[in-house]
Amino acid sequence: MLKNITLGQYYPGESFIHRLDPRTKLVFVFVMVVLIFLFSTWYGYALMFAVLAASIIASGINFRYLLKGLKPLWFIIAFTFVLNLLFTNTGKVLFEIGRFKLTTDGLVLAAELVARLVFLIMMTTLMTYTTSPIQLTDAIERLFKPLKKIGFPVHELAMMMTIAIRFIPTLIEETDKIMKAQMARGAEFDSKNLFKRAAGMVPLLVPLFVSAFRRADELAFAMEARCYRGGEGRTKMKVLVMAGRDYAVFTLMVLLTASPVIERLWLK
Amino acid sequence: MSIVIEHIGLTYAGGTSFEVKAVDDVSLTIEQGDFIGIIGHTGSGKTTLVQMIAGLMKPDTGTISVGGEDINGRDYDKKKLRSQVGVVFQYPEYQLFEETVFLDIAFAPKKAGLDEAAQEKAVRKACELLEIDFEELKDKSPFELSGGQKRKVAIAGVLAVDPNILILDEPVAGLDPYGRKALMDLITKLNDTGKTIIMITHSMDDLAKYAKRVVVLKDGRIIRDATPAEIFSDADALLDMSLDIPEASKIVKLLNDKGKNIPKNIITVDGLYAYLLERLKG
Repeated sequence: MLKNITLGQYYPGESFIHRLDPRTKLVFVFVMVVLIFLFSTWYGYALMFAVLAASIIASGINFRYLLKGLKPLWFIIAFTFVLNLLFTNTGKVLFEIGRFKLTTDGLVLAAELVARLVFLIMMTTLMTYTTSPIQLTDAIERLFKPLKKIGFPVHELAMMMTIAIRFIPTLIEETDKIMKAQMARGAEFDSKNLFKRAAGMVPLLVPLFVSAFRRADELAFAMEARCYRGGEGRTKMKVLVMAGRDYAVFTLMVLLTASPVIERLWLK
Repeated sequence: MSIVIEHIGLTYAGGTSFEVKAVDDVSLTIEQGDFIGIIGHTGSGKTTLVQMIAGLMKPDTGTISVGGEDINGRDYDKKKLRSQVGVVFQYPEYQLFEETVFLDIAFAPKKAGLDEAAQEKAVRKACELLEIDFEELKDKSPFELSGGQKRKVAIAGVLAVDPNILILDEPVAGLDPYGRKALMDLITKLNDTGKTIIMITHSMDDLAKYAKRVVVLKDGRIIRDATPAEIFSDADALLDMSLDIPEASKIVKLLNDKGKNIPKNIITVDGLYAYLLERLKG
């Protein structure tokens, strides 16, 4: 029942995108997401979507799965679209409904925002589809390492993220099991009455908390038994190494970063 | 109250590349008072099957009826099923949540709509069955009990509604030999009073000793359904599936390999002991 929930689903593979260093992917996606907000002409958007399309093809991920990633957010996308459509008053008026005017500017702005949102979601989804959560936290730990100098607990945070990600499926499974056990005893989790429903969660939440604490305790014990003592001097089993393809992607990224400037100077 | 299962199937993650047929075209009839053991490999669909019988999961295809009524039917009230079918999950102690032992055991009777006097009666009866000291434990928090006591309280919480059918998923896992024997004795006692027992277990000795019927699942299908003696006399078939066999069957196999010619349908240690004693005398 709860097994259908996917969180940052990773689709294992051997494609070009899969084999990129997670740091490259993280930086690239971040820069692309910033870039899409700097463009103001359709040439820019076309360029960015071409990059997205090329990445999707290079990743070998089924386009259907990427659309699935958009699904939970379509309401926000539609909402932004309608909001921008209705509350932009400049430009040529196409038609009016009461106090609301539908204008050409509104239409363009709304379309722009939707394009940006879809790009942002698809790009990040593609990253999480092709990078395992462990690789991602590894990349974050490495990228934020300089912050250690000002006393920021980079390793600890990365370790916490890794553990949290590791335990999501376990906790989902546990929730499913406890729910079923309590349902078999007559508990109802789908009552129409909101208060009854909240009260009905107690038989689920208490055992879940108890078991989460128990697991945390056991894990801490197991980690200490294996001599874990924080990040100092700790080596990696899988050391991140930049390869030729990573430098190629970085070169592409630098070139792309120049494009909004070119757009500003010549296309406007 | 018999359980009739007809051609049920359930697929996980249908439509994706992760598709797994957890249960595939299973039909099974279980009469009231039966004691069925379900064995099979991890992932063979045992747990999914019993959860469907308990009405906790819905099959994609096929029907399950309990006492002649389709439990997934449109008009069927699941509440009725909850007091007829009790389910003891793996490590049931993790489902305890109430402030006191009394309230936890009384949870199911309360949900079944019993009044307070009837609730107390039900709790006392369940405590008696599991040899829980009612007066001593009723006001204690279930979280301050020992592991073995927690499990007893959790099982009492399932038995409190006096279900006709009891489903147990690895009930003896993690218990010491004494606790294990006590629990198996209780399950047999419940079976003797006419309750249907459906038990998933890896402990072949328990099945050899107590079960009336054993169902073997593989890849979501029933591949054998017979008495324990019949199932375990074909020890090689089970070993081929990397399933275990009872201790007695292991000894019989070893002796037969040495040409001692011992009947393969001896599957309990007591039975083997009696047979050997007889044979050595004669």
